[in-house]
Amino acid sequence: MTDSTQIASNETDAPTYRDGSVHVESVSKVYDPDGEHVVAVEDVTLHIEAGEFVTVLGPSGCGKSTLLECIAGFTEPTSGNVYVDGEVIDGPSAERGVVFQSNRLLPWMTIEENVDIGPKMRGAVEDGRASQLLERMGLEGTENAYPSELSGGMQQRAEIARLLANDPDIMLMDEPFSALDALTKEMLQEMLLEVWDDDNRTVLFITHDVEEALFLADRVLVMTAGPGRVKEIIDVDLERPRDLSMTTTEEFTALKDRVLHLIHEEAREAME
Amino acid sequence: MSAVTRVEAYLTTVQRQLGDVPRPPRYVLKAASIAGFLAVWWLFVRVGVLGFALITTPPEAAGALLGYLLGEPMTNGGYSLYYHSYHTIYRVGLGVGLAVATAVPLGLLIGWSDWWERYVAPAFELLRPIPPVAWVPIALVAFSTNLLSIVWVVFVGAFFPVLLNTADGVRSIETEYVRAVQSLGGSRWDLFRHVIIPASVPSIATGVMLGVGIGWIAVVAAEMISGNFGVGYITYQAYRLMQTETVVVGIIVLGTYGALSSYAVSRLGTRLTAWKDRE
Repeated sequence: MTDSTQIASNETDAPTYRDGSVHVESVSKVYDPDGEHVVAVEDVTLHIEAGEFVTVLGPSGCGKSTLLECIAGFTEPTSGNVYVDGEVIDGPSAERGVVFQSNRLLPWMTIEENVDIGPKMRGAVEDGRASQLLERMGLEGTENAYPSELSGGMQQRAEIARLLANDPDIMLMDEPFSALDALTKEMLQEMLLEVWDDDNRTVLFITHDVEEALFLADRVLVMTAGPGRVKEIIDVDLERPRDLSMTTTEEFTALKDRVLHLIHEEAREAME
Repeated sequence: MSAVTRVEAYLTTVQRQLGDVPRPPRYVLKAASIAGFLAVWWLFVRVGVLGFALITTPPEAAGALLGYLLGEPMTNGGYSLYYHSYHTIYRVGLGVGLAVATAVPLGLLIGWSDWWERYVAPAFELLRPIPPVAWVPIALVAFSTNLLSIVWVVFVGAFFPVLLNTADGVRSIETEYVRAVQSLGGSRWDLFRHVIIPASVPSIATGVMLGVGIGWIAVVAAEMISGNFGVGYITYQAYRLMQTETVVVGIIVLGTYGALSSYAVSRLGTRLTAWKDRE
C-alpha cells in the first residue's frame, strides 16, 4: 500500500481508490451482412484513466454504440483489443455495468428485485441495500412497483440504482437519457454527476447531445460519421462540481462552439 | 341563444333522457340468446328439418343429463357418466401433461440454441403437419394398451403448439434483457432462470391453451375409434344405438370439460404473467 492511499483511507470524505482503467487499442469492428462489409468502428484507440468521465459524441449511426458494445464485451472486435486494468477482456462482466438506451429493467421483476438481481446472482444480497439505493436516486417507495408502472425518467434512475447495487468499477452508458424530456434529462445529468463524484467510478457515456457531452465529461471524444473513427479528443477543463448554470458561461460556450464546428466540418466531409 | 345552440341543447337533453332508460343487464341478453338457440333446436326437431326428427328435444336431453348426473348407467355398458368422465379426463390430463413436460424444455432449447434449432428442430418439423387423429392406427399397433394409444394421440396433438410457441417465445426475447443480465455478472444458468424462462411464460401459456383445446379434439376422436369407455366412446356408442339424448349429453359434457379446462389454463397463465397486465 502506498503512502497516498494510506492517508486517503484515514479521511472520511476521501475518495475510495478503485480500479477501472480502460484501454481501447486500435479496435475495429466490421459487420458482414450478406457479404457486404459495413465498417462500424475503424481503428479507435483511447485510454481512459480509472475514475475518469469520458463522453463519446457523434451522429447517429457513427458506430459509437458498437464501440460501447466492444468495451462491454457484448461483441468481439474484428481487430484490436480492449484492456481493463491492463488485461484483455473476455465477454461481459460485472465490473463493467451497462445502462442501456431504452430501458432494460426486467419487466417481470419488481423494482426491488431488479435492483437486487446483480448481488443476488453473485450471492451477496444485503437486506435493505436496494431501498437505500432507490432512496439515493430519489425513488423511495417504489420497491414493489413493476417497471412499467414508473415513468421513463424513474425507470432510468432505477436502472442506475441496479447498476450501483452491483458496485462496478466502470459504468458504460449508451445514450441513457436520449429518450427523456429536457427537464428530466437535466435532472438526471446532475444526479449522475453527484453519483460519480461520490463513488469515483470510471464512466464512458455515449451521446449525440453536444451540451450533455461537455457538461458531464472530463474529456469528449468526437467521432467521425461512419466508419466511426476518432476525430478529436477534447479536454473539458471546467470546474467541478458542476451544475447546469455553468452551461451559459463563456468558457462553456467557447467549448461548445469548438465542438459544433468539428461536427459541422465532419458533416460537410461526409456529404462530399 | 342562437338556433344552433338551442338545437344542441335539445339534443343533449334527449341524449340524457335516453341514457336514463335502463338497458337490460348483460345476463338477461345472454339468457335470451341461449333461449333462442334452444327454441331453434326444438323447432328443427318438431318440424323435422332434414334428419332432425330423429334427434332428441331440449327437455328430453335435459332429463337424460339429470339422470346421468344422478348416476344412472349410460347405454348398455352399464358404466356411469362419472366413470366415463374419469377416464377421458385422465387421458387428456396425462397426454397434455406429458406434452407440456417435454415440449417446454425442448422448445426452450430450440429457441435458445442454434445447434438444437439446426439439428433437432427439422425432425419435428416433419411430423408437425400430421393431424393428431391420423396417428390412431399406428398408435393402436405400436402401443399395446388402449390407454397408451389414446394418450399418445392426445400427446401428439398438444405437443406441437406448446413446442412452437415456447421456441417462438424464446426467439423473440430482446437481446438487451440478455445483455443486461450478462453485464450484471449473470451466468448462463442465471440467464435461463431470470430471463429466458420468465420472458417466455406468456407464449408458453398460449401454447398450452392451444394444446389443451387440441387435446380434447384428439381424445374424442381416439375414443370413438378405439375406446372401451370414455365420454367420446359413449357418445359414439349412443349414436350406434340411436340414443340421441345420450349423444347430446355427451356433447354437452365434452363442451363443458373443454370450457372448464381452457378457463383453468388461462387463469393460471394470467397469474403467472401478472407483470404483463400492468403495462
